[in-house]
Amino acid sequence: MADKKRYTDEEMIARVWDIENIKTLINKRVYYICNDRRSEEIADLWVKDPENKKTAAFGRNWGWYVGMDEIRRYYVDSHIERLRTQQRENGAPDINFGNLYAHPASTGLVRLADDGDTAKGMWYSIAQETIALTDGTADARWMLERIAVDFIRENDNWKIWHLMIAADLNCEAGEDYSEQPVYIDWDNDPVKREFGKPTVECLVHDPTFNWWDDYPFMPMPYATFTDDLSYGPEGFKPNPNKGLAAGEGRNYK
Amino acid sequence: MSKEQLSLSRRIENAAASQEVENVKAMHTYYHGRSDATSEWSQIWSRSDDCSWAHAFGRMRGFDQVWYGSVTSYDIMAMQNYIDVVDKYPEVGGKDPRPLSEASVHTLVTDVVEVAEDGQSARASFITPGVIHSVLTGMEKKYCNVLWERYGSDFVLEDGEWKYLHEHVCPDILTRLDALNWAADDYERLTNPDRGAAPPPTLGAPPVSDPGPMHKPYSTLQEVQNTVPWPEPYKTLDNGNTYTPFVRDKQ
Amino acid sequence: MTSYTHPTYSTEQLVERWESQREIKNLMGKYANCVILNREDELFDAFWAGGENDVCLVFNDGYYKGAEAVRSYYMAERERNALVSKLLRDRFPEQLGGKNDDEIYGIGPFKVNPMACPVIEIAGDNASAKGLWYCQGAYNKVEECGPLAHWTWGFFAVDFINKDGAWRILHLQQVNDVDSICGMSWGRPQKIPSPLPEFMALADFRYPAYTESVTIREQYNPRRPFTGAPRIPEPYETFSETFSYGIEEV
Repeated sequence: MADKKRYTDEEMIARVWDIENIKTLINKRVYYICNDRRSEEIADLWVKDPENKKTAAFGRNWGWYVGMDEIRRYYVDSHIERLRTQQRENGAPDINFGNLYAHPASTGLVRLADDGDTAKGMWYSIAQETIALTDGTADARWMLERIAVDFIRENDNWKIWHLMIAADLNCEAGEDYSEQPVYIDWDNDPVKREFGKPTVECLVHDPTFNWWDDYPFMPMPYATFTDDLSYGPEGFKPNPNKGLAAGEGRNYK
Repeated sequence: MSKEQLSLSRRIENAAASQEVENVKAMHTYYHGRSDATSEWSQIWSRSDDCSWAHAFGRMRGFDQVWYGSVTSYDIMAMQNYIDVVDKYPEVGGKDPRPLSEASVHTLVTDVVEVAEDGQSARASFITPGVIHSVLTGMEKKYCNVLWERYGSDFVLEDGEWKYLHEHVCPDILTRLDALNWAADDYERLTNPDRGAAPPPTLGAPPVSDPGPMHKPYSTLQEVQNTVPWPEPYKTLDNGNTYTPFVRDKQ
Repeated sequence: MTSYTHPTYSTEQLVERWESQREIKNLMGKYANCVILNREDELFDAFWAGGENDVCLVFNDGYYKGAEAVRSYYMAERERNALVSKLLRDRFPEQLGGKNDDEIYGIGPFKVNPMACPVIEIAGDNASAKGLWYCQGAYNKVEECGPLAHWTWGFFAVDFINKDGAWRILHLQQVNDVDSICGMSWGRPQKIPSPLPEFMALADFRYPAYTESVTIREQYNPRRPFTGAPRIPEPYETFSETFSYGIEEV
């Protein structure tokens, strides 16, 4: 843990507002998602500085898209392509017709670096996505996920730099989650399929073992940002004692 | 005293304190999500004799009793669970049994936070719409229980660090994702004796100083419970402003 | 590196504005707790701006405008809570038969509105504020079919005014996308259980008529055009310069 630094009154209230503005930033993202305004989210809430855009990362359980061009390709372009396919298949008048998104963020834990240039945060989301189907019903699905974010200050505005959303589970509304097969069927997991093939492929959080893998790790007080603290790929350190993977170890008999 | 009568420095420190205790509370959530009771009670709790932790079953008082109930007993349950699980799933061998027991995620929203005028304590209430899930179980069935509770939390400043002093957990809604109806099911239990009793709100009941029940989960015939009233602005932590009455004069 | 000199506000103003947003979060937390405790009848006097102001309470299918209309809605909620408790006493005389109306008040309904994701803007003149919350809620109001739990997914969008140094609600929108029976999908048709004779009296209960019945927000269904969140608060100097979460009567 970093030594506790002393601040003047002016410094301290500035830091209090920094933390508040960071929380507001991530809350605004929640409403951008409700509005499905992904392109605007990137324009308004993510890094703009050319150097930061190169190292920006959007991760999920299976790796990261790195660089804003790659992030846009996944997060905006592929999404719109899927929505157009859905619109065509459903004979819908508009894209997103009959869809509903909500990923509310709770349990905020924000650490502002001692130097005030970066911050790290963690949230939990009990979320849902509802996707209209061709038969006039919709696939309504609970989604549980932990959100870990690195923020960086650009021209006195806070921006999302690295975003990791580690899914724990998803379950169709009205269905009994405990009736799902024990082992996750990654090939047919709607969240993994949506994520596609990232720039850096790597299983960073396998919820088969609950939170045993401790990733994303909880943000702790820190002095200044270094790569090993990052929620981007450079900060991921696989557990050297990873043991067996899900479903392994049955040949001993 | 209104806040405007406090010094500007005090008001700024109290603003920072309000954020600090929210972080302490969130650290509880993320440690508990890994069933890492050791880190939670080692790092974010006061070791005072005044500390307390209460749930439906009653209230533990003093750090030794809190540690026994919240760490020792909790770890025992995790180890017992592990023995059941490893029998079915050999891949858990070598892994820490505690996070394998379950991910108990008590999310935090609806915060009402007050920092004392003297800056030495803070009080907060929350609604926690939470989930408790696990994949590899001895029953060979994964589960995701939904547990909505209310929290009343007191914090104290010790050597420049904000620490938990009192926690009072009030379970309200216990159900399962997403096949049950917690209200209709309860009515069914009331009107159909064959349905049996509702599940307990906790896995165990450790030794306590103040016996329960201190709060009961929602049921159709349950009277209104305001077990953890929201905190009001206050001067100092005392028996008029606390989630655990002090049993002796506070020095 | 942090700039410690704010371009607009003095250090004292920054403190005051931070305290304002904290008080507003506290206010909405207290509002949610009052609803859990079935104390809706206290909400208007405790948290609203009062009769001299243009108060407005908005739901998906209409709104109440003016102090009398808003207060009458909350009082009706109390009346309904009381009616549910009496019906339960009639149904369970062994458990509740010896208790009077005051003692049983509140038994039955349980309504939770968790307030999350606040985006709060305090006006530059500090006289008003706006806030938007996401609310994934749950409730059981007890219906003609008896106790029945619902999940909700929706929003609280609120205008506040600073009245004599205290923040008060001026306009409040409580609008849901989803109001779905727990254990059923909101993406499919839902079957409401059959009425029970012990709760039939609830069929005659009526809330006060809205000032205007109008679709403010269509509830989600798979044929609903895509509907985003209420407008996110934006920085503003004084309330007349920004939009309102209240409804202007036609």
